[in-house]
Amino acid sequence: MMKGICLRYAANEMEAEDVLQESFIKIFKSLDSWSGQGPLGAWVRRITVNMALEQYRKNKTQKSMAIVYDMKEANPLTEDGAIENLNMEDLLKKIQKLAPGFRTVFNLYAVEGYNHTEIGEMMGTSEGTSKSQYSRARVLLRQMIDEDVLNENKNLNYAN
Amino acid sequence: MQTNTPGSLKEKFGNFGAAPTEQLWNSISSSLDQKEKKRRGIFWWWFSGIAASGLLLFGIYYLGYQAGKSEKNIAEENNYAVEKSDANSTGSLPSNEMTGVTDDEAQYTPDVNSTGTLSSGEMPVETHNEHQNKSNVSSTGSLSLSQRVEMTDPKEDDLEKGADVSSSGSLPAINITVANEHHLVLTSTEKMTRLEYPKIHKITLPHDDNFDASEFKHDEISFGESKWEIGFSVGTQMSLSPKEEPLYFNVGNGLNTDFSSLETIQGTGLLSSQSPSSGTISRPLSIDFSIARTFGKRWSLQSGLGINWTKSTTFYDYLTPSQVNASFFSISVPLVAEFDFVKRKRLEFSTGLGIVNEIPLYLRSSSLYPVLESKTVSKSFISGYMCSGLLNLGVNYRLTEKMKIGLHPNVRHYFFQSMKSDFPVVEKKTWFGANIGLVWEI
Repeated sequence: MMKGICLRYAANEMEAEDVLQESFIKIFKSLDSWSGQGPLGAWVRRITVNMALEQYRKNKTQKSMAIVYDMKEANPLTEDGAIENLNMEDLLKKIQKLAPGFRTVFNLYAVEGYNHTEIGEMMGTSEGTSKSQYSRARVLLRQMIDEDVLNENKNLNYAN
Repeated sequence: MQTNTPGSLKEKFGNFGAAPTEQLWNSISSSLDQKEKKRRGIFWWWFSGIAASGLLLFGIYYLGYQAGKSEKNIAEENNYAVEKSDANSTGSLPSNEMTGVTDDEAQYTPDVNSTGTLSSGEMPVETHNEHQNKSNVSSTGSLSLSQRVEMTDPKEDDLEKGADVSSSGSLPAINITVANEHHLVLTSTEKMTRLEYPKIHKITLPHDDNFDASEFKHDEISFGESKWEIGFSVGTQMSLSPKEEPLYFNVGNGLNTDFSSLETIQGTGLLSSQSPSSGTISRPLSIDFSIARTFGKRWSLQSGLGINWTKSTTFYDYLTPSQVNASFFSISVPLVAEFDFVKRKRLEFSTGLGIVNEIPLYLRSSSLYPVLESKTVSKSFISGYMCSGLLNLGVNYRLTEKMKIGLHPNVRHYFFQSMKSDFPVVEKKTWFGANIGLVWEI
């Protein structure tokens, strides 16, 4: 479960393992502070997400190799609901291609279930920025699906 | 949390997981050991800083105490001589060893016998009249021309009565002008002999190369007698470090409020592949309020409170963001020992050595994101600790009796820095700067 969370917030497996390592260390050192109330899994999950957010803070001012799409001409053909219909592996790969800010907001909102006010507080931005980033993240994911469809069609044409 | 979870992604990723590799477990184990070492290292820095401050404080106190003690003895000596010279005109010349002599003991007045000899004192003192033809010093025991004062030095029993003590050649002489216009020549060994004689107008220094005249020069300085000084100054600094090799703090605090250790990660390892391409620090501005305690004539210990603003800028080659400006506000508490190597009535030159403890408190950062076409501004309280060594060279000019204006060029080298910051801040290294301000003696 922990590595799954880290993979969603990281750009690749190596970065995910870095976050996972920090999360484990944090958990080992904080075991005494766990009250014992509530499920241990939820506590571990919260710490892992927090560590992922911390990693985001470190990385957000550094170089990122994420793919950048031209947002001005973003008008994907794919419908918005197609994102939820993707299989897990495909969706994970596409999420990892997002820029760190978009990826983090998308995870926090779409998967963890936080609202934009909470996300703004966590990321040190405004609620509006969170909304905007989430919206753009979904557009970017749809663009990626468009590209996949386009490549698939090209391959089919070559095959024919 | 949301009231309505959109879609089914939460369920989709709910049980998604993967097994950590064995390499990761080894890495975790070694990381736990490293963290422990880091914590010990930080303790050592704190301990060293406190110990160095204590040592410096003790050194200054000790030097100041010695200097003060010496001056006090000289001052007492002069005062005593003046008080006891109110023309009771006994004409007697008691000679007592200065050290350990109480007032009662000091009031002892040896008799001058009819032949003009003095009873024995602890130190050899020779008096003889400079005027070769007259003798009007005393009504009870006047000293005649070229009359030899008989002495006994307990340390030199082989000195015979009537011997010319000054002829030993090792005794410096002091000329003293007295109220009745007589000029006396005193000779003594290293310890100054207390005199009792009619009112002393002035003491002139002898022309003796072996005589240490510096002890008596304090009378020439009329200013700078105050023990405490307060000051106010403004200053700025410039980095002497090359721009091409910046180092960065990158200590994320995140949401972990119980982040227990302060860490500095320099531009290696984790950051080497992801760190900004370059960075600069603008000239910081500081306002300093100081208080100083003087010890003796030349030493002082200075501390106070400084308020500093430092602006750090980091640049990126690619993607988000392109530039981060981080301005942090900090307070500093210096501890500096100063020595005035030139001290005139209006002009003073000094040099100082000390340490500056700096505590970052507040950070304002703005990030430019070309991808989002936006600028993000973040403000937060931070914590940390920086310690730097300080060497300064100062000049003070006295504007009034109690007020001086000073210019203090200085060099600072940061030898420890730690800051809990969510944003990269260029690390300080060696700086050159100057402060200008006013000092009041209180």
